[in-house]
Parts: sequence; structure tokens; C-alpha cells
Amino acid sequence: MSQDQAQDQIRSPAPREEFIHHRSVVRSIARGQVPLKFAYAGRAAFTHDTYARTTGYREMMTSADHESRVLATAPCCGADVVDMAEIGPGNGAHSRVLLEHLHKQGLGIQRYLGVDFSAALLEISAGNLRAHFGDALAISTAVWDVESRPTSVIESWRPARGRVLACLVGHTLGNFEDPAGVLRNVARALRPGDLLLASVLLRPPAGPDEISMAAYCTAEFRSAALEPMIAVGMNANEMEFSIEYRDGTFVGEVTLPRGAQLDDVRLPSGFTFRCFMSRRFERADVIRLFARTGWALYAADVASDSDHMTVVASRAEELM
Amino acid sequence: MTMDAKETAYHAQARQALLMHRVSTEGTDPDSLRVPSDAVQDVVQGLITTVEEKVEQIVPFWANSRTSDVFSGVLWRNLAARKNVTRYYLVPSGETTRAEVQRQVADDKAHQLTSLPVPVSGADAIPAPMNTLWLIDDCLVVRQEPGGGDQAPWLVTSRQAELTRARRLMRAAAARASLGLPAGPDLTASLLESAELLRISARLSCAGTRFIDEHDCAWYHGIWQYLRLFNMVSSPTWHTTFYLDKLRAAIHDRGARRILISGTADYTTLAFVLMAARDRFGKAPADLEVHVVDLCLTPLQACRWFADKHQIKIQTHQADITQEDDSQPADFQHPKPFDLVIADAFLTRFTRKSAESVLSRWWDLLRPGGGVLTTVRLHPRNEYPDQDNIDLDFGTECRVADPVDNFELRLRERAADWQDMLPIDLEELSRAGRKYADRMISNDLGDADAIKKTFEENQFELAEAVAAPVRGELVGTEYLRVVALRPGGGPVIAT
Repeated sequence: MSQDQAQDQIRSPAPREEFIHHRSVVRSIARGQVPLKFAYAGRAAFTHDTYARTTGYREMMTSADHESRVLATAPCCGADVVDMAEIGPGNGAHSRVLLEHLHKQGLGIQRYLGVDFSAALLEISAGNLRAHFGDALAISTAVWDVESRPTSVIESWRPARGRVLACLVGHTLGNFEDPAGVLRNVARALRPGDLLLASVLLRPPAGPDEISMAAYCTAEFRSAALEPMIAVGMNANEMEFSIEYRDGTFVGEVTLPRGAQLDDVRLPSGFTFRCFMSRRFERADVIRLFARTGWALYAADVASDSDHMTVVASRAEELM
Repeated sequence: MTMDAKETAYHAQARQALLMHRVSTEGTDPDSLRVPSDAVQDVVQGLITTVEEKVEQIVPFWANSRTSDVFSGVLWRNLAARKNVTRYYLVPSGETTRAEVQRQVADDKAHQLTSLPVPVSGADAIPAPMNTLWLIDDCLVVRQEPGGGDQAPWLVTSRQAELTRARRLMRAAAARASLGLPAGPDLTASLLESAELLRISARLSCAGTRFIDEHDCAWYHGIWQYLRLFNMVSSPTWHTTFYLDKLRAAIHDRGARRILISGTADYTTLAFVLMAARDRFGKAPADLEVHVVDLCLTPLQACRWFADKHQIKIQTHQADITQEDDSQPADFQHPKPFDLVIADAFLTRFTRKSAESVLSRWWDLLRPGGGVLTTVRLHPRNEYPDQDNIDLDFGTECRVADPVDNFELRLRERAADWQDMLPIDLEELSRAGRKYADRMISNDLGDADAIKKTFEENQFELAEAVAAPVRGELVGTEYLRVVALRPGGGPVIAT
């Protein structure tokens, strides 16, 4: 059994997942940068679910309607696409809406694979999708840290014939440490001709003053952002959390007013580390990002009434 | 845990790491294998034992290639004695290695290997892959991936899309091999040589051309030749027959000798003039005088580079064509009248008012009967790219609606197959291409009637003004091809 298959079978309770990531989170804190993926693992998945249900987050969620329309009108897309692999489905709320919109556009997805770093979040999303779609959608899940390496789980799951539609929507791409590395890993997990539907948020053309901080100024968001640190034993009341918009990126940082001891790591008083990062892209950067990571673009559309950009691409033969 | 159990666990971890390494380098596609370059000779040894009928090969042959070392080895020659091996040597058109190619072809023939030189350019309708590709028994493709030079991995694949592409490339190569020389100047090899020189020199010599950019035109002139190489920008090659026919008639039938190139991004217009000036023995009139005037030094340097390369004398003038004679630099004041002014896609660099100043100045510079050869973009005929005819297995152009995105993607796709021949990094080229598309301004001078009227209001007689569709830079469009005469003397072009 491969490690991927073994991970696919992880359906253990949340504390198990926290235990797995404990050392990685402590090391990340000591390095000053905690990847956002830890904010979805273990118990944090439930906190994220709570946050995702708040109005602020839903407002920030990208438009499934736009994504489905751009995909349906892309010249590479056809009704033969019935197998979807979604990377980072969150709590499944956006996935459900997207699947419904795709159906309205004539794209009847029959098989669905959710892949995520967090087994706990996958349980939540798959549960929500099963509750909604029942037997109409064959749902599978698999754990995959898309930031670390490619995977064979999609290859194992894919149908004998036909293309796979991979989805990386809801601005997931902007939350990765290295979006280019992620797109390369996704390309390696697919076959040439497979499709990718992705969406990102763009920087406002008029500058940072137009950016709304509302979604990040809630108690739910703070709780969700601090979960990885709480999971390794830090006290939420002893972390000062701040968020600001710098050079096209929302950066959330924790400062420790009194220092802390984490396993064998001593964090001094005043120590600051990043625990949240979410990029806003320039349109040109998005085009280039896909083109240089092994994707042939078929559509790149910015919604007329928002800063939401949807990209439809096909995996090129060359692996970049 | 026992030692045996530990060993088993370690081995499992190592195997998993190896599997992931393979997925990282090869992907998960079971129809394709990626082979490191240092293992390709072993692959060839294995392949030649399995060939049943034929091997077709595309092999780039250019100044710095190592193809003769690698691919003329005994393995393929031995196979050629038993099976049908056909090889197409892709040679950048105008390449000076023609003699070497012919030697190679003769050598191949001596070993029963059929080979043909194929002139290629970055503007070919079916892009030539400037990396080696083999199609074996029409059912397996082996090709070196672009972008990694000699160290790039090799792809071994039986994917249908790759087979279809390879077959089309072979057909296109065979068709091109049988074609004669292109109708216009053969500049691909020159562009490969000079594009980087100009990009570097533009940083120093582009001091700003107020009609392109008030502060700095390096973003325009610096990248121009790379864009030319891949047919991304307007040039006389979009109107080859028009320019060559009119120039030949003017020079050889009407005795035009003093020719002024007014505004030029590089030496392409000069190459057209020189090509037209040569007779069937390759000789140009001894008294031909070619002058080039431009506000920026960079295109003048490009023209001088080309003239030196071809051992031709030209005169260049750094001057503003909109200014009156008395305001011109000394070398361009009161020049002897010209027989012909040639200016490709130049007038739309100016506003309507400034364009009239240009026409007025051209009138002054011409002798009575002298003429203007030019093309003018017809903005009212702009149209957006047609996305209906997309070939998912081959051509990938014109996919996204935004013209600037589209421009950048088209440039990347065209340049990708040539990147091992280019001294510029693909990312840098891509950025520079977008900058060009973003900043380039072409002024709308009206429809064909409005442009004709502007010429007539500036005392020109129109000998010809015909609109013709072209692919366009960002969007498909039409250009008005204009022959305008200063009335008075014997016309330089028949009316």
C-alpha cells in the first residue's frame, strides 16, 4: 500500500491529525512562518467550518456562478467532463454551489474526489456534499498536501477513459506559500489534456484603499487563524494577532508579549511570526503563473462586477 | 521493532521517496515516459531493434547545435541500411550554415539516410519545434523537451495528441522542404543574431521618442526584434508583395535612386529596399542611395548593423520628421530631393495633426513626381480574435479574450519551441512582450476615405490605396496600402 493510499484511509479523529503535524507547526513557528494549511487540520477544521459559515467569509467567497460560466464556455470544455477532483474543498459549501451551477451549465459531474491537507476538513466537506447530493454524486476523498509534492491519488481514482476536471477555486491558490509550486504539483498529478478550473482574487486597480478588511476583523477569523498555535499548546490569550495588507497580500501576524516555551523551542518576549497569508494577484501575474507551470490557458476572465478572476487551463505535455 | 522489521520499514520509506521523485520528474501519465538526456543513447539502442518500417526525424540544424555530433551517429545510419529513415534538418531561414547542411545531407545520403534541409522561421503557420523529434513506425514519438538545452529530458510517448502533432509536423516539414525561397527578405537568422544586440543597446541608445514614449522607448525598440522573429508585430512582411512590386518598379523601371526610409523599428524595411534593388544577378544599382531617418538612435544602429553585415553603404539621420527643414540636424538639412519615401505602418504613431506634419514634410523631401510607399492601419476595421477554430491537439493560439493576455500567451507559445536558440529567458521575453502590448499606442487616423483625404489635402495624388486584411498585433485588422505621388515631374511609380 502506498503512502497516499494509506493517507486516503485516514479517517481518525481530529487529535490524531494534530499529533501528526505537531513538530511541523512548532518548527514553522520558530522559523517565523506558519503555512496556512495547518489552520485547517484537526480540530482547526471545525473552527474553520464555523468561520466559513459567517457572512464575512461568504461575501469573500468567489462566485461559483462565474466559475461555472467561464468553464462551460471555454473552448476546451465539453459534456464529456463528468469527473471532478477538487483541491481544497473547504467545508464543501462552495463545492456544492459550484456543482449545482455546473449542472445548470450542462456539465453533470458524476464522480467527485475531494483532496486536502486536512482529513478532518475532508470529512466535513464530504459529509455536507453527501447530505446534499445523496447517490447522485459518487464522492471520494484523499489526503494530499499539494504544497509538498505531486500525488498519485488522482491517477488511482481517475476513470479508465476521459478527462479529469481539477478544481482549485475559492481563491485557494492565493493562500499557498508557493502558488507556482502547487500548480506544478497539480500538473504532475494529472494527464495531458486534463482540465483545471481555478479562481483567484485580483488586486483592486485603484490601490489598497479599496481593499476591505471586514472579513478579517471578526472573532471567528481570529480563532481560525490561531488554531495551529493553540493545537501545539499556546495560549490564545497570550497571542496578539494583527492583520494588514502589504504589497498585495493580507498578512496576519502573532506577537508574543511574554514569550513562550514550545517543546524544546524558546520563543522570546516580543517574538513575531506570520500565521496567515492571502495574496491578491495582478492579472498579468496570473496569466504568467499558469503559463510557466505547465498549463495551456483556454480562458481567463475577470468578472465584470468584482475582482474575481477565473482561469480554465489544460495540462500541457511539457512538465515545467 | 526487530532489525528485519526496521529494514523493511526503511526500504518502504526509500521506495516511497523514489516513487515520489519519479512522479515529480515524470508525472503520472502512463502513456508518457521522461528519460534523462544522458540515457537517450540507450533508448536509441533499444528503439532501433524494434523499428519495423520507418523512422522520421526532425533535427534542428543551426549555428550552435550539436546535432551533427549526436544524431549522425552510427546507430541511425546502421538502421538506414535496413529500414526507411528520413530526416528533416530545420534551418533558420537565411542561415549562413547552408554549406554545412548540404555537406551533412550528402554525408547522410552516402549512408542511405534520406535527409532534407527545411528552412523555418518563427512566423511559420505550423510552428517548427527547434528540438529533436522522432516519429517511429508512425506509432511512437520520441522528442527532447524544450528549454533545457542539451540536458533537457526526452519524452517517449504514444499519446494520440502527440502522434497527431508529430505527423502534422512531418507533413509540414516535407512541404516546406519542397518550397522555394520566401517571397520577401530571409531574415530569421539575422533576427536571431541581432535581437539581443538591439535589446542591450536599446537600454543605452533609446533616449525617448516622443511619438512612442516621451521618456524612454527601450520597451519598444528593445524587444521589437524578438517580436518580429515571431511575427507578433506589424512589419513590411505583412505586405511583402506590395512593397517589393512597387519598389522594384520604382528602382528598375523608373530609375529611383534616392530612397528615404522614414521611421523604422529595425532593418526590415531596409532589407526590403535592398532586396528589391538587386537584379537577377544580385547586383544593386551602383548609384543607389539609401537614407534612413528616425528620431531614435536604436533603429538607426540596427540599420547600420544590417548594412555592415551586407557590406552596403547607407546614410542614417537622427531627426524628427515632423520638424521644418531649418530645425533639422545639419546632416538632414536641405537634403537633395528623394525619389521615394518608404514608411511602413508609420503614420499611426502620430495624432491626426502630427500625421499631417509628417505628410507635409515628406512632400517637401520628395522631388516632383516622387512617391510615398506606406501602409496605414485602419482602426475602424479592427476585430477581435476568432476563437472558433481552435485545434486542441495542435494550435493553441487565441484562447483568451483579453487582447493583451492573448498577445503574451501567443508570444510564449511561439517562442517556447525556439527557447533553446534564444539568448533571452522566456519569462523575460514574456514580460517584455506584455509591456509592449500594454503600452503600444496606435492612433486612429480614420477609415480608408479619411486617410485618402488626408493625403489629398496635403497635396498628394493617390496612385493606389487598397485595404488589405492582416492578422494584426493584438487583434485582426486591415491596413491601407498607399502609393502617393508628389505631382509635377515624371512619376516614380506608374499611376
